[in-house]
Amino acid sequence: MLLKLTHETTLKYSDAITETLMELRMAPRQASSQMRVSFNLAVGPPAGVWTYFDWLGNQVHAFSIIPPHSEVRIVAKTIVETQSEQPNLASITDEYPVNPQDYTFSDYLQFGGPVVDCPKLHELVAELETSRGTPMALLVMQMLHLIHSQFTYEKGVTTASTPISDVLEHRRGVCQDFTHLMIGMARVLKIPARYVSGIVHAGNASLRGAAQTHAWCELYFPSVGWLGLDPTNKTLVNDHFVITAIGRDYRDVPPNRGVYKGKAKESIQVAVTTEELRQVPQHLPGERIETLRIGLLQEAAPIVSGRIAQLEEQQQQQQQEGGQLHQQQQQQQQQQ
Amino acid sequence: MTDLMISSPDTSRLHKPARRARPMLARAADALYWLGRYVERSEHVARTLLINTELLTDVGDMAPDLRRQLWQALLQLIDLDATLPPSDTDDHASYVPHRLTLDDTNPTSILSCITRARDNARTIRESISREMWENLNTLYWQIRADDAKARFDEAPTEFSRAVINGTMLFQGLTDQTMPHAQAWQFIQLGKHLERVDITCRILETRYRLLRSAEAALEAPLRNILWMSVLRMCCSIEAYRRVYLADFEPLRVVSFVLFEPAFPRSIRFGVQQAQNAAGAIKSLANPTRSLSGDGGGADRILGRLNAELEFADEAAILHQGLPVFLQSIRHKTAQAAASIQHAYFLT
Amino acid sequence: MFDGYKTNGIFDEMFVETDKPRPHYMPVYDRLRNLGHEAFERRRRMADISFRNQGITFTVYSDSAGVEKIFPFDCIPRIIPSDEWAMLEKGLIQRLTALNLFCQDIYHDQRILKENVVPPDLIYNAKSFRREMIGLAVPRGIYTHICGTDLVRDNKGNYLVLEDNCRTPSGVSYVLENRAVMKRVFPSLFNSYRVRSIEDYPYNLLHCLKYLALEHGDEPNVVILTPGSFNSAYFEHSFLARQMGVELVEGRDLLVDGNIVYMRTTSGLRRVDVIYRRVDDDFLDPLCFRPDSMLGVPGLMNAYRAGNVALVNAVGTGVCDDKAIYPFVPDMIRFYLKEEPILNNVPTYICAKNDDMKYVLDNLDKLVVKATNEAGGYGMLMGHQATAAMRAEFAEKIKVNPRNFIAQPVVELSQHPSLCDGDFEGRRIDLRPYILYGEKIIVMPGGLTRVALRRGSLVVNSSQGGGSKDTWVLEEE
Repeated sequence: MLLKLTHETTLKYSDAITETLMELRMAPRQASSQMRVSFNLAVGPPAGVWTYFDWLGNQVHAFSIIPPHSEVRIVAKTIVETQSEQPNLASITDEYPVNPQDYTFSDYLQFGGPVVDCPKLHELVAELETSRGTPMALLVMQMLHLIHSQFTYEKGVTTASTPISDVLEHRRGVCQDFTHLMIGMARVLKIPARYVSGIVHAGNASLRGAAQTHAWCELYFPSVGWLGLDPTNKTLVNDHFVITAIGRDYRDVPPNRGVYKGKAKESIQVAVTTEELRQVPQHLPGERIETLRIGLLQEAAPIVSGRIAQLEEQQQQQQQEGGQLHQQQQQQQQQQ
Repeated sequence: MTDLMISSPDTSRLHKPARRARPMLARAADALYWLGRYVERSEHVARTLLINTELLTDVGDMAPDLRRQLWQALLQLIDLDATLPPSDTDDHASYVPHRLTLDDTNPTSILSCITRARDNARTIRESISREMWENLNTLYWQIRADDAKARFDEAPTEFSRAVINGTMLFQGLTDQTMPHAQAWQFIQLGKHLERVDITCRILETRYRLLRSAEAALEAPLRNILWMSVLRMCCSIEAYRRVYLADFEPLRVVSFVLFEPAFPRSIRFGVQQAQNAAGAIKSLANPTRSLSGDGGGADRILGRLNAELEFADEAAILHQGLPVFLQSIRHKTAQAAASIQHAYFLT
Repeated sequence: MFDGYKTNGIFDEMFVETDKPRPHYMPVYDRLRNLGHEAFERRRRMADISFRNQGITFTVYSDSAGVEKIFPFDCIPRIIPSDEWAMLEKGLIQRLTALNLFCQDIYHDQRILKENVVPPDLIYNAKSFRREMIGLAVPRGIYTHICGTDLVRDNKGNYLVLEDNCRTPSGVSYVLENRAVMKRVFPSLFNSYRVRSIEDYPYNLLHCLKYLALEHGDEPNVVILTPGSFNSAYFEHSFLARQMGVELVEGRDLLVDGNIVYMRTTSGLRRVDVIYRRVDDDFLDPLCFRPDSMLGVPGLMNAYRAGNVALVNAVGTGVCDDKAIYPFVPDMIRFYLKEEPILNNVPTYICAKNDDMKYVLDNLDKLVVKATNEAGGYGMLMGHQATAAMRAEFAEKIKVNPRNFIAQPVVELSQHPSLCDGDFEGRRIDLRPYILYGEKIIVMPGGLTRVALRRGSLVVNSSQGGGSKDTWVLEEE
């Protein structure tokens, strides 16, 4: 399927900020199930954008905006062709347990971050049929069914950092949580499992996760390799799914991550649109970076007499360093 | 600094420092500036306290209301709206001195000022001389010592004098043991801006007090009070050399404000601050465009200096002393903010 | 003052047996023997004043009030003859070469893991293994620029490596100050020996740092990044900055724009080429590591990745001084250098191995058991000093998580005469030489000899009652 994806992110700040430094993981990676034809990134206010590939092979775009500003806008446009032929359940011929020996899987078998090892997780796994010789395909179906039936899709209950131990308590969450949950279950069963952040094209089907960034997981089976599974929609991944980035869990693949200087409050809006194309547009560059016309703010206004009293107060005392800064300084281990 | 490097016999292997001047960290400039301000501030707090105490001895029982007002004026030195806690007895005599000296909840007590001065010095030890650090460190430990309160209670004037001596020694060491380069200029800038500011406040608070008490006071007492103002500004001998024993209020105030050659006059301080700001500007030679116009500090101070050069008693009478003094303080605050914007915040 | 001195059946640095000093200690023995209490006490006071005046302190914090302490100095020098040192130097160079190759390997080809010489899960479970460094090319291929390796001697006088410190080894400022003080306090004694100089350490360090700036070769801008003046080792950061003539900066003094690191100065932004950072990996870059870090520089890792700045030591060198990986260092030497190790580890039992675990559980009363997990809370067991109940409790911890523990026999550290309450008594010591890896590997002749000042104690850390001595490595005869 030939897809055009547009991913727009707008960050607004209640007051002027400076020194924004950001990293984006918005460029879909090349994979056996998809070919990225073109990628266009536009950033405003104007910033030099640098790109590299991280240790997981995800493409990262990074930029800095130093002068005062109160808005940052990012528009990522991708044209990608997804494979119509993708593995299905019948392709998985392995039987439980597999116990992979290759150490390069260890990151996908270890617990960490939101994917915590806890008693309730084991209780959940115990509900699966896991006797020796159980076909993995059956196990996969069971896991998808279990999550879909026992957990409710609901926004606003969890946050970006919610561990699965919480989700296992209140049984509600969004695609990120279901994905972490399935990864947790797979890891208990010693099946390598990894997190995928990407975009799903609803088209005619009604799929959750459209019009926003979506998350699902990939599990590894010797007979098929990495297989994509979407616990939120209780389905195998197909040509409606576009992979952006892959990692151990959410922490490795946030679409955007940044720091800035200033006391302003940040508000973020994200919009994702997808469209099926008939043919590849002509004269398309493989990758391009552009700037958006968003202005910088003026340097801080010169002193106005009306604020004199406040000014004098400010002049009385030097800015004191925070206690937290001192604490961190003290905590730094020096090998003595 | 240690003399470690000199002991190596093979000098060809010694690191030779780069010929051109090293640029100064913005944070270091900030620390040096505040070091200058806090040391100067503690000197003035100590001196005004000392003089006030002596003054009260002179006043004796002549004017009981005046005693309370004098203590209040002292508190108002930094916080112009400060008031004494209500009390019938005369325990202001212990409350105020303690609050101004060893109270660590008061950000402008001598203890707080010296502590902050030292904290700043600590982070920029590479920029100041060993003598300066040791002097400040010694002064700090004297005030911080467990027996400091006892020593203060027993001999408060000795305590204040020790602080004054310590801070003046610090000034002397700064001038004599530091190269007069960018770092030194930032200390001078802080020192002079602080001195001008506090001297204005001394005049303001004392003027207010004397204005309200004038009617009730007899001439000898008024003279003593104006003499104490001069003492607080370190100007009594210089004044006497010019005006002998004539302590006419307007004359006293004009002297402290305008006397060009005397180092403690406000005009002199503004001139020195302007010099420092100008020197910093050419030494730092900033490459960024300073739309907040950091170069503005030396211009603001230059204009103020010119104003003071051509002003006289008539100008004061015309505006009224409080307004005149306030406008000086406003302008020095503007200059300080401009410096902050240009060099410390990047 | 040597009356009543006992060697206690432990290897003594100065004495072969009571009243029989080793040949290289004869001049010291003669001098001190005839010195008398008062004269010695005078010199000790002189040394103390020297340290106090210089402000050579480290700060111990409790309840946010910092107490500045002087690291206690013992005036009796520790002496190492040149042939002994030659062996140590070769061994240390060999060891650091292998450790550096190890870092290069695990962050690139991972040959040592693929061939299972080092168990891969030890690396992948190590907190100090920084995946962000996988595939990142560091300047000149050097990771471990500065290393402090702790050496001890067993009761036969063999030197053993206790641990390598490849992240932010500290203490070299004491070494330099100790030497200056000894020369002041015992000038004729010092001159009666031919002691190898250590004063060129700052020069060598600076040269080593500059070597990493591939562009801007003529005058690269080198800085030292400190957590700040509230850090216990701040004195050393400041000291080294002054000795080398480089700027001392904190995270907030730096800015990354367009992948280049700049310093904020009153004259505007100035580019930085090399950062000697005394801040832990975790706090270096809030964009990449801990987002709440106030000590780091946002974007620093990307500037590093782009090759625009060099970091010393490289990020991720903690795998070298990880206790779980320490037992494999001799294997690294064999694997990368095809040589036998010149310096040996303290014999170590790895509980992750079944045979070793069995031995450990059977012999808890003779072993020191250490947790390899830095998360702490597991602690350490001094088996020979613990009660049976404590040992039983610890045995349970080991059985639950054997990977988390290693054990070593108690090493009877060598002792050295030290001044204790007016007389000389034997106190346990170790040695930390400082090694620089630049154009070539340079080992500072000597290093910090740390002394456990409490009688019978084997603990030499500054925060736990330790002190130090000057170390004299003799020139070849």
